[in-house]
Amino acid sequence: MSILEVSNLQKVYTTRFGGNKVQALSNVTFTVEKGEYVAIMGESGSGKTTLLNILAALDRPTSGKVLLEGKELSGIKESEMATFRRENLGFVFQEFNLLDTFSIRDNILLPLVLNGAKPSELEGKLQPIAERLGIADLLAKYPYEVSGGQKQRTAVARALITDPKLILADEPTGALDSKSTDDLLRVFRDINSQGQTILMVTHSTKAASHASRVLFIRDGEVFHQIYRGDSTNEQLYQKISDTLTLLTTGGEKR
Amino acid sequence: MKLGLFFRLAWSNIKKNHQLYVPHILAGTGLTAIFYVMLTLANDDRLRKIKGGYAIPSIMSIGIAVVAILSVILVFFTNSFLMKQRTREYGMYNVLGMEKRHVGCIMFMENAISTVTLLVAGILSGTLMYKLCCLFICKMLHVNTILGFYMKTEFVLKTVGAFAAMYLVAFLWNCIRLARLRPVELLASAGVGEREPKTKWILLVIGLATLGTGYFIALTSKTPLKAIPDFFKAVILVIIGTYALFLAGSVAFLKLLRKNKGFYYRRKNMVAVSDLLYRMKQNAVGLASIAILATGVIVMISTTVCLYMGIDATVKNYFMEGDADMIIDGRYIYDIESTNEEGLTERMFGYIPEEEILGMADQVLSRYGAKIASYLTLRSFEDTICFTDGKARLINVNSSFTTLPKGTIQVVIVPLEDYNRMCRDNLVLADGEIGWVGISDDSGDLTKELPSEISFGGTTTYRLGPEAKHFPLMRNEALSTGYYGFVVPTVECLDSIVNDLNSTNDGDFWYYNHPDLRYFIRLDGVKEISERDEAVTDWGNRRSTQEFRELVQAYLDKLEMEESAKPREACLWDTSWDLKDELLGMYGSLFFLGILLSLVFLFATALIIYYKQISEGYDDRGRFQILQKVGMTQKETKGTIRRQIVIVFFLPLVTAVIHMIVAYPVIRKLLMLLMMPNDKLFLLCTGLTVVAFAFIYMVIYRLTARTYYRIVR
Repeated sequence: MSILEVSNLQKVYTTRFGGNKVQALSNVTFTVEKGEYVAIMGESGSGKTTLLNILAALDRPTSGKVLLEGKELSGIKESEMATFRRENLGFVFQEFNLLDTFSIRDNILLPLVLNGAKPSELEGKLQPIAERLGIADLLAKYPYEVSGGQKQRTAVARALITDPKLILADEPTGALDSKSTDDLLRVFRDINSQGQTILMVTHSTKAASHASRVLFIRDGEVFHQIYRGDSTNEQLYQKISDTLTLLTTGGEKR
Repeated sequence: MKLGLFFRLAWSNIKKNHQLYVPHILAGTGLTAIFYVMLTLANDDRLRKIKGGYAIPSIMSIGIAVVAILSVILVFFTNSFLMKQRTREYGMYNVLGMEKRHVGCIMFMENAISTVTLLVAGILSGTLMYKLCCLFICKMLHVNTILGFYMKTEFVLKTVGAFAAMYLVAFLWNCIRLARLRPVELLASAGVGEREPKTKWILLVIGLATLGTGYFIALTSKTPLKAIPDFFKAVILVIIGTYALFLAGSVAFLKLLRKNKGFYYRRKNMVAVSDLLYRMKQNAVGLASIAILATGVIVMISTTVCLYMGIDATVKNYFMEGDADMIIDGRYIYDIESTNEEGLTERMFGYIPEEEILGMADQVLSRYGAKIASYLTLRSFEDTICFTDGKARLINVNSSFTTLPKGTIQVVIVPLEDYNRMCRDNLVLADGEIGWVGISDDSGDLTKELPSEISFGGTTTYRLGPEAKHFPLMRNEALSTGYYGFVVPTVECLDSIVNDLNSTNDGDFWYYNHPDLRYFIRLDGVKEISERDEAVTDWGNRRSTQEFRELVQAYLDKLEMEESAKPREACLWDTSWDLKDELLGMYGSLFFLGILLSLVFLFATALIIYYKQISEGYDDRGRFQILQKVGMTQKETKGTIRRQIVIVFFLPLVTAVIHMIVAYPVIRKLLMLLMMPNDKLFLLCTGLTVVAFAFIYMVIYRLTARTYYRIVR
């Protein structure tokens, strides 16, 4: 069963005075199955961010549909949108977006609290996730006291704690060193293997090579996709590199 | 050439940062203007000459000191705020290749532009304001308006010099900061998170102790006379306590809230509590200052308005509840140089015969077209007495006493004859009986406090008899003891009681007390005399007063007395029109000073709030953006912002109101000292002031909150 269906998505930006029109997405169609780990790749300006914003319901498409578990995103009222996002989606950002005024614990618990969870339930949900992500010892610390990798794991924990249907990750390794990147990608593999659906936007080949499927976007369209199949990370890495080379040197659509 | 470039850069910087510079210049303009106005008020000879104007210079001098201190604080506050906001920019210039000396030049230009602007604007608006102030003062003192502009280069130069010096020092301070600036650190420091505030336990304890003590002193201050030192002690303690508690108490309280999981982990509270925690760290001092300034405004305005509004009541109260227009005293004092070894002078009293003194009064009054319509003679004796087991003794009340012995009361003793006339009563007293009445709010039922047989130190004992009618006399309530009127059967009784009481003097006093002899006079032609009777020079020196004094002096000089006797003092000549003008002058000037100082305080408050909003706005923007990304709705975000702002805003106001409520009793006692016993009026004035201040505060809040929302969004 597909958890996310994107069909004929189009997004046109109009400049301020209505003169020029910029087509950010021209025709994007794809689906994500439950439990999948999908990476979306593309160069700057390819429409990745626009796509992610629409999937995150932060932006509305000019035309086309996005269905999350069969429910159309554009059919949700503006007033209910934030609640919908909070209950169904989890976010991981490049810049972590942790609040300095909160301890690691409170940062993770924030979405739950916003959902109106009972104070007594919080600890029970927090502990297993914190342990799985290896930050159980850091809970009392503050974001400025921990490393970048630990911050990003905190952010992942925050995304996971509401049991979202889909995790949307925007360049999650962008601000990390290589060791932290490896750690984080392992974490993603790990939570994915336990059934969590992940959609990651990245332009890091390494990050993408951990996914079960890689979509390539160019000029606002899905240009190509690679399934992992039986390949190892290294093999997938090679395939992605090849595709990227093809992309940049201007190959034809297959 | 180069200078032109710096000037252009500086000018464009100011324009770009108008959000910071406009309030800075406005505040500077306001301070300069008010300082100039006060300086001129204190030295304008034309004002000194108007009726009641004698009080203006001395009262304004106090104001100048306060404004000067506040100006220094505010100038440095705005300067350091500006510098903090712009350090990045200056660092950037440095990084882009400008030498620090060049950056200094730009800084100097910016300072020069803003300072010159605010000084010119300040002097101009100050001159206009001065004109308005003169009109206002003349209105308040009920005199004809002084016309014409008044401007003296001396005051302009002094004002400009003082403020230019302040801004120059501030600029030099900035230069030192600039010299120490390391641009690399500056650029890197942006990403470093802010540490969580620690609970300062010692400060918390100090705050609780000082505030508690201050409140305690204010609430338990017993007598009006003690209220003066008590009030100042309490003020200092409360100021310290307010700062300490805003700094430490707020953090401790919020942390306590955070510890309470059931409260903290709720949608409404979590973000608000933790944000407030950080906000308090940055703003505790500012908020405490606002609370203190707000309290200051409320106290100043409510008391001065109350005094001013109560002038008529006070005058009425002084002149037999409005039944008399003037009081003269038939008693005179003379000293006899003693021939004994100690060489002590003996002070004696004598009375000028009734027809003589009233004749002299009529003589003076007739010159102004007034004459005595009716009068009332009152012999009385007034003092503080302590009763132990029904035996009385005199108490020497001086400023150094701390507690009065139990059984201390103040009394006015009046013979029956005078009482019946004064109160239009038909009281009958048996021989050896004393009528009594409680005449202040603190007076209880005297028959319960005293045994039925009392003595005044002599052999005669008296019985407490029937309760009399209220005495319409001016009460001295400085001691807050019970205040009673005694009615004794005859004038001789009064004399013997005074004699007896004098015998209880165990060397505490160097003089003997004598009964007063006062004439409460009603006039025909009060209006005429009050208009024609001019002020001669200073304090209470009306022409009629002088004329009467001269007549009495001449009379005393002709008296045949012992050779060594020297008549010392002419008789009292108290008139309602003179008292009214004196009070108008004094309370009017105080009221006016209250308004000017409140203006400065409001400037300070608005400035602190405004700058706080801006600096917080930039800090909070990032935080709220993250919150929205994590899934907080716009509505929730707005609600959170509003809740925080409201708490931060109204905390100082609520604090000020609480301070005022606690200070109320002690201020009331202070007002009693100033002959202002009207409780209801003071309550009304306080209430209205609080409401008015809250309204102005709300306006400031609305205006500055807009800026905040604009930044956060």
